[in-house]
Formats: sequence, structure tokens, C-alpha cells
Amino acid sequence: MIEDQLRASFARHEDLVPQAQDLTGKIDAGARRMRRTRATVTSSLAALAVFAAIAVPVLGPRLAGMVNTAKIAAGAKSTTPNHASVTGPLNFLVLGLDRRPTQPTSEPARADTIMIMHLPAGLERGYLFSVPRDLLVEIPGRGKDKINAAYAYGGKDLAKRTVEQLTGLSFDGTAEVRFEGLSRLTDALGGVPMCIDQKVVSIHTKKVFDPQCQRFTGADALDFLRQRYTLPGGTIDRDRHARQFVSALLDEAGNADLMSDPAKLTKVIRATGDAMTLDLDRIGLLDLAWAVRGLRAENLTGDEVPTTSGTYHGSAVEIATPKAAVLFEALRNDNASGWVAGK
Amino acid sequence: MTYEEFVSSRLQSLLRYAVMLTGDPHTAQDLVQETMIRVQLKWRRVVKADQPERYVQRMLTNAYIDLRRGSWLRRVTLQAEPAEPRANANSDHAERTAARDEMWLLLARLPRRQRAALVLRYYEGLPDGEIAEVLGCAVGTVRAHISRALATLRAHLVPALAVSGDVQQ
Repeated sequence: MIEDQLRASFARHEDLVPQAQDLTGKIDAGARRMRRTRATVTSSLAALAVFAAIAVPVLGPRLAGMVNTAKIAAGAKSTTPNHASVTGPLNFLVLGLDRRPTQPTSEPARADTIMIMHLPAGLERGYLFSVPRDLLVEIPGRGKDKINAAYAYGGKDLAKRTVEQLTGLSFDGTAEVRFEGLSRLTDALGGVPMCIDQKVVSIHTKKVFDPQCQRFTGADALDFLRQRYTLPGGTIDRDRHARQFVSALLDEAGNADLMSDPAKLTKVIRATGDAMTLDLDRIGLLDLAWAVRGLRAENLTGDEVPTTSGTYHGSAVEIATPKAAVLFEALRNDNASGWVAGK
Repeated sequence: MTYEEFVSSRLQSLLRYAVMLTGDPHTAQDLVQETMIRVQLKWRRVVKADQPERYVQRMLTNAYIDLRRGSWLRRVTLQAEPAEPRANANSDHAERTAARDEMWLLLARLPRRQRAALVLRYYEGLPDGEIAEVLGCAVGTVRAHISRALATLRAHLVPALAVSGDVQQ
């Protein structure tokens, strides 16, 4: 009875259905656009490049080999690869997206961890600067708000524009890193060893992480990285832990003997693809992978954007100090090393 | 099967399916367009599936269910009232249309998985086993979605019908 009414209602609304031939042209144009610009590269290969982008020496030769293969397949006469186009400095926005276990999937994930990855010219070193999620900023078109609201309002594009407006930098790409994916990646690597610098008690699992070196499973890493309420420095401490973890993860990926273990390599590549989405704005993926082949995890330096605690309309926020402006200027002038040394 | 063959044989029915899911021709068109762009780019993988048609239907369904709040589609659906079929001057007919539109409006308020399950069973006419494949869940879950959705529809629809019945008498 109600089923019949339902069928009737569906049938009655068939006259709303648009004509298929009106759509085929748009689909073809959209597919052409995607192929041509590759504006959004969402594949394990893309993620692999981010990986290489920060430090996976062991994968470097393989990617380099792929670049060469592509050149030859394209009919290039020269056998000398020509990848001089990407020299740096490069800046990437890294957004760590977390979806709580209790959060319905219909809600957007929140950008809880925001980092600026800066690779100075020469691309042999890297800097990770954490931007506190509660940093009070001007969000384009939205007025003053906490910086992590930008992602909630307008996704990675608005987050990117917000940080660009804040820093005066122009990002070469955006990486979205999903926390659950990071956990699977950790497990695919067989765990990640990390030394932690303070005792952390999880408010979620009650697990106690003592200040010592230990090998983290994916679940433990996720649990550890989610903690901020019980830490004396709150978000600042957690952001530091996140930077330490990124460094440890990349180091482990570099040390793991992936080349001699194809099964593990496949698992890692797939998990990386699940964990990250990379949008490159003006550089080709393989050119990037080639350009950063000299980078090593031990050449990665972490720091945070200088801020001080304050309130805005009654809620606790972080406010950028004048030193932050000095840092942004140093990044614009490709002088991160000078800034870190002069602190 | 080539991509072009797939388009000429299946695109129209995908559009129909998308209209029934979203309740709105513009949103449906966007949803199909975005899905088909991915289908074209990944055609080799799609055609390797046991049933490419079902595979694409699943992609489209997932795209519909996974729409994030604040995404383009959500914004569109929040702004647009559910589309109505053509108005009819005949008042008796209009009353019946109103009762029938009630159904369409109620569908728009169902959770998306429930609505998808209803469309797959009562519009596409799929058996529960295949609905489960499209939705990526267990058969029992499909039945739960459908019975919950029907219960919601009944609870809201009965008073509306009773009112229009009184008017007619």
C-alpha cells in the first residue's frame, strides 16, 4: 500500500529527469580538464611523492626510474633527464584531518593539525612549522575566527587562502592527511619507533605513555596524537608531538627495507594513498619527486609559529606575536635557517 | 564494452536513478556528471568489474551518501526546495497531487542510506542481496533501512492522507 504510493511517486517524478545527451559533453570536458591539469592528484602515487617529498631515500631511485621511463615513452631523444624546473623554495600546507570515532560520517572532518612545510632552495632540508588550531586569523569572507574554522567553512581551498593571507606565502600544494589513514600506514610499516618527551595519559583509552622510546602501533599513535587536554602546553604540546611523529614516520619509511620486500612496499604505498590527498598547484608530481630526492628525515626541523594565549569574544584563542611576522618574512625570503638560528 | 557504449546504454537510467536519490534534477545532474568523469578516467578498472553497471551505480550511491556538509551538493540541496511535478489546474487533481507531493517531501527528509535503499528496491526493483552490494552493507541492514524508512513515511503520511480524505468527502 505505502509501497505502491512510493512506486507511484517515483514514477510521477520521472518527468524531472534531464536528458542524457545534454550531459555527455560536460562529462567529456570535465574528464579532459582533469587529465590535462591534474589539478587534484588523488592517488597512491601522489601520496608516494609527498612521502618522497619529505624523505624516502629508498624510494627515490624507483621514482627517478619512473620519471625516466615516462620520458622515453614520450619519445624524448635525450637520455639525460631534465628535471631542473623544480628548484625551490617550495611551500606546502599540510592539514591533519581527524574524525573522532563518535563523529557521524556525515559531518566534515576537522583540520586539527595545521602545518607549513617549507623546503628551502636546493631542496635538501625541510622545515615543519605548526600553526596552532586556535590561532585567531582573518578568514577571507568570514571575518575573524580560529584558523581551524576555515577548513570547516570552505575545505582545503579556504584553509589555504587563509594561511596564504596570514603568511604572505604562496603554496605550491596542499596535503590533506587523514588520521585514521595514518594509523593504517603506521601498521603497514610494522609500527613506528618514537621517543616521547613527556608523560601522556590518554583521556580516550586511559593508556599511559611514559617518556621513553617505544615502537608505536597505528592505534597507539592515533591515540597519542589525539591527546591535548591533559598536557601542560595543550595544543602546543600536541602539535610538537605531531611534528615528532611525522619525522619518526618518515625516518622509519626510509629505514624500512621496502625495496627487498615487495609485499610490504605495496602495503605501504596503498596505505599512504589512503592516508593522504595531495593537490599540486603548479608542479608536476614526478618532477617534485625527482626534485626532492636528496631530502632526508634527519634534515627535517620542526618549530611552531610564535603565539601567545588570549581570548576573543569569550573563547580562548592563540594570538600571533610580532615574532610570527618575522618568521613569515623569513619564509618569504627563503631564510628559515636564519630564523631558526636566531631564535 | 567501450566507455561510449556504456554511456549510450546506461547514462539515461543513471540520471533517473540520481533524480530519485536526490529529488532534484540539477543536483542529480551534478552528481552523475562528477561520477561519470571519474568513470571515464578509470574506465579500465570499471570495465574489469563483474558488472560495470552495478559498479558505477555503487560509485554514484557512495558519492550521494558521502556528501559532506558544506560540500557543493549539500549547499545546493539546502537552498533548493524539492522540485515539484508540473502544477495542475484541476483542483481535485491538485489535492491528490498535494498528497502525493507529501511523499516526495518526506523522502527528502529521510537519512540518505534509507532513501537509497528505498529507491533501489521500489524504483530500481533490485533484490535485497544486490541492494546490499550497492550500499556495501549486510542484507539485514538493508531490510532495517527499508523498514525504518517505511515506518517514518507511514507515520507522517497517514495524517496527511486523512486530512485530504476529509476534504474530499
